[in-house]
Amino acid sequence: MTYRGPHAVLEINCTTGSALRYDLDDAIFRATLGGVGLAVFLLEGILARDGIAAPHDPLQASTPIVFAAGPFAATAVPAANKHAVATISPLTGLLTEGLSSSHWSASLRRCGLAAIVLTGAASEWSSIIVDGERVGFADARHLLGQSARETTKSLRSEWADRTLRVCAVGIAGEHGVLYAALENDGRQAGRGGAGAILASKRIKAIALRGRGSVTVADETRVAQLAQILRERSVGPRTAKYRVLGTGANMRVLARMGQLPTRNFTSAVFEGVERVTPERAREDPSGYVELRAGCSGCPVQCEHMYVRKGRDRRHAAASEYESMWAFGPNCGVDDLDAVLDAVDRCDRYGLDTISTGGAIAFGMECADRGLIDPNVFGVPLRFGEAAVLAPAIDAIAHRRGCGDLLADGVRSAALRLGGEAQSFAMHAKGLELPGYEPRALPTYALGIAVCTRGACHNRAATYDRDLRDPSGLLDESERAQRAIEGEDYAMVWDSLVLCKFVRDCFEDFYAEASELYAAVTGLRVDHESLLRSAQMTWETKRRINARMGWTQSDDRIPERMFEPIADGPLAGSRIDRSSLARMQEAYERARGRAASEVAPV
Amino acid sequence: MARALAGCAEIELHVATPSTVRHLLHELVRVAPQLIGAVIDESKECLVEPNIFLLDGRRAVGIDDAIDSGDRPCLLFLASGG
Repeated sequence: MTYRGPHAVLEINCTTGSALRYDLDDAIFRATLGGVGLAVFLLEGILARDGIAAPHDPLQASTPIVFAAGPFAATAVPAANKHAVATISPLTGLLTEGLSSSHWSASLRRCGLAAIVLTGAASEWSSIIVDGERVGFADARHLLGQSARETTKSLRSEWADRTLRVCAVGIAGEHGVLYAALENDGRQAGRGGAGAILASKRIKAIALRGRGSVTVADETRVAQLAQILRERSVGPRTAKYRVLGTGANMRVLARMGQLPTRNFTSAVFEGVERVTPERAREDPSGYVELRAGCSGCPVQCEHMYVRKGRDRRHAAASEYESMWAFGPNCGVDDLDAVLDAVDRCDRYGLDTISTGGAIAFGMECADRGLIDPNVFGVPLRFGEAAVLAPAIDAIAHRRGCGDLLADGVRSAALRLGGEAQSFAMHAKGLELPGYEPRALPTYALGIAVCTRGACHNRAATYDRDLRDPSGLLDESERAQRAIEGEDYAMVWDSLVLCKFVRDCFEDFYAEASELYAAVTGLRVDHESLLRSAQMTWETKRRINARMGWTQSDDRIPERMFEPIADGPLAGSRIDRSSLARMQEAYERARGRAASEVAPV
Repeated sequence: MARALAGCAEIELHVATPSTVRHLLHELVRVAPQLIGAVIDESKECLVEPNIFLLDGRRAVGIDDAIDSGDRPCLLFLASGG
């Protein structure tokens, strides 16, 4: 059966301004599914074709960046207007692949495209306009200094088209901050610095005008399945996201005694109740709550808050990771300062987790006398709410000490030398998110082996540990769990469905197979979805090996081998030999699976 | 989630000890019926996934597990992310 949906890849050489459009075979969609699977498949091919390998500076013009649509984007399937971005991270030097969503993802397919690939670099700052089958470059020098949202507004005005969909970098990308994000429709592909890569090509924005229709294989069945998923998506299994948002994790993790605090020096944050998003929600006289979400998603998970009387354009998304990064991780219990920090990052186009991680690292450096504590004009110390704004401003513009922190904690620790590396909280150069590995051993393995670095979403192993916190598993069982978690996440990220509806499936692999067949016409089943996941994992590993990765890079921060200092989990730590056994078991199991999967 | 629906952070429940999580759940149904549907299953015999009972901040318990005086059960919604 033929794959239904856009087959075309648009490859744009930013150096020459030329564009090449070519179709992919059905077999590629069957093997990769789409989204992340397709993005890393295309990335590996271009790296090989162009001879890009270690040693390689990701900010060189030759680094490709791939945008690949999810196969359900622009269809009736809810929570699925999503696309993947894959490139070489300037932060880790290895593969980074991220997800974003909403109208831009749908427009990509409405342009008749499965993916866009950019190579080379423009001589002057430019925007790329894809209008159906036409591709053009436009001068973007006048857009410099604008946020992604302002850039969107400007381009819509210039092109007299309010429906133009724009993916752009903000000021942080322009200044080459290594964890600069990409933003489209208010959604970000935040982690790993894809924004810095787009900016290194002197591309300020990619604007899409997608007006074509996207057909599906079985319209009636797609409508039925979409309706079932939509109904479940507004039921109790997504209630937390709809009613409270992900920020509700803060109280949960605090109750469990595993809320990383002050750069992971503590697991108990005494000020947590003052900085939860619920605090704003429970104070309607003090804050205005705004709701948002991706196009085509009934969950509408984003809960944004702004102080009453303040311009609503400064409403900040109260996502858990962002609130944690500037709240507990910096020891700050001032809700207004935390919301302002999140809003600032969104306007500058900064990854909130890495920004918060860099500032928390800076605070510990100042505490230990490695950095002048007055470097931002306000004391750089844990709990100092007033330092967040000047620190973020300095990072985004690479001013003073902000220049040091703009390269991420791994690089900053190397430059500072001495003991700094022992408390630089990263894996492979990517800053840690807001889960405590010492309380979640499978998660510790997950971030150690993750091809992207310290990412909580590529294996979701924290979720497995959290749902079974009393599980007494041996190392082999944990390794198996990590693999299952990675495979599960890779299928989600290739399809691409939002993981916030993951509890809405009763038999995920069976239901996802049926959905994929109804949309694309290609028959898949539980087994073939897992084969696709294994193949995608192998592709990711090969890309990393090409970029210089070895197994010795699969490490977690030294602090994780020290006991948690306080709270109900005091004394918990990662045992070094146990982690090594988990990693051995993981490699053995992955190796066995690799020998059973034929390459595409 | 439960906190938002119940309108309070803590609820005092009286169950004979030693007892089981099932008895605790039945008492919770009686005291906070607004949790039925979103947090407690319509059958009133289990929680809606991914809600769990956590004892003393570190032990997840099943419906037939024993609880005793001095235990501190906490009802948590364990979906995460973001």
